[in-house]
Amino acid sequence: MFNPSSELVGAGLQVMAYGLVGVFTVLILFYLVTKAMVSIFTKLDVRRKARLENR
Amino acid sequence: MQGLIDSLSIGLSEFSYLNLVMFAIAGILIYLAIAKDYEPMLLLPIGFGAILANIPLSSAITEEGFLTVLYNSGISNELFPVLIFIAVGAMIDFKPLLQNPFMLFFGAAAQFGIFATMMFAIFLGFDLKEAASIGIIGAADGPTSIYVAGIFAPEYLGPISVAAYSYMALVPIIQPPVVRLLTSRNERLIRMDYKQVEVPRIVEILFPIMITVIAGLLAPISVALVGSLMFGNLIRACGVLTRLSNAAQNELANLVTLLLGITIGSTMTADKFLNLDTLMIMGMGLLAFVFDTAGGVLFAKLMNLFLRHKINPMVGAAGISAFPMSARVIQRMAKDEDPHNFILMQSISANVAGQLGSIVAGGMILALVPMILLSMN
Repeated sequence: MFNPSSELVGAGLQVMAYGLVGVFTVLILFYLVTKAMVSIFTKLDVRRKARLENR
Repeated sequence: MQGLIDSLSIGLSEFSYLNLVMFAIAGILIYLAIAKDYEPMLLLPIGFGAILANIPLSSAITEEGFLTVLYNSGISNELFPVLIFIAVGAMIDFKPLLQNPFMLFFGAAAQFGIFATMMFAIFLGFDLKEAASIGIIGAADGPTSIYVAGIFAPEYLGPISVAAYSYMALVPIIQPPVVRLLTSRNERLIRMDYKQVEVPRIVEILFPIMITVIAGLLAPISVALVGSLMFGNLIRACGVLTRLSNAAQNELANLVTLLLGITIGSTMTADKFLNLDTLMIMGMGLLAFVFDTAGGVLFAKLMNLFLRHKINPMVGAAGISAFPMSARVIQRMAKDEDPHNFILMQSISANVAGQLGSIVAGGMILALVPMILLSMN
């Protein structure tokens, strides 16, 4: 106890670094996809409503 | 006659002070559940399960005992946590997040506690898998903690679950001092604009599908976690499965929670629970929540260096998964500083992002730990 091997600490640091980068990467992708979906479908919605009003 | 007396007193003769200590711990859990309303749906069954497991020669935990059967069929194969995820997914409304997707970043930042606590556990002498399981308490998400611990450190399932659910209930006590310590009064007074954005229904339906596909492609091991949560959410969002959605939110959630709790309680036998490791796990669980809160707040402060419209850094603390408690705590703190400051919607968005962030972090841990261990050998 209180004396972990440097190999284990290194492995822990790798999990920490890759883990945090991974979580941020995945959530940034979620962000981009969400923004794109909201933007695309909002525009389509507006067009659809405009088309209906013109009828 | 003597044989009858012997057989009737066999339980008493095997009873030791360790069983008594475990009864006391179980009693505390049941007390907290009933008197303090701390996660009663989990802590009460866990407490009673611990009593059942600590009665000497208990028939509930023999090889064919019902708790052993439940453990083998629901915990060791991860079925119960996955079913809970379906139920939780059906309960989550992602609309606040879809209206304000920027808050997803706080759902990522507030997972810092998982990794910081994992490092702390390594320094205390736990191996990588155990340390990762302890760190995941910082997901502030019971089912994720159970899922990861069940795979990496089943021997610590009891203390990890108890820590996860206890500290989730203690969020109103844990978060405010950390937030106050890391923010100035001026920062806590920051007001944030809120624009009501109309989210097309198709986006609500596509969101769980897209999230599952993205997360699954990046970390296939997370598919069970993310996929079940998103399946539950799709049932809710699609709008044509109201009965199934209600069943997932009520019957499924209640039944599986009941079985999950009592089964976890059954793992808390004196020989496994009464040791220094348990105390350390409880301590590190608290630390994980503190680190999570600090991670969210500090990330918000970092963002403020670059943003024109400043974020109230307290919102960052709501990026943990304890929903909706954390968001409410942050709104209450904002109101204490300025009765007219309303940041509940932003906090709710960050809180929902935290629910997503916690399972992504769980998936990352599940993917990375075996990979890195393999590269060490």
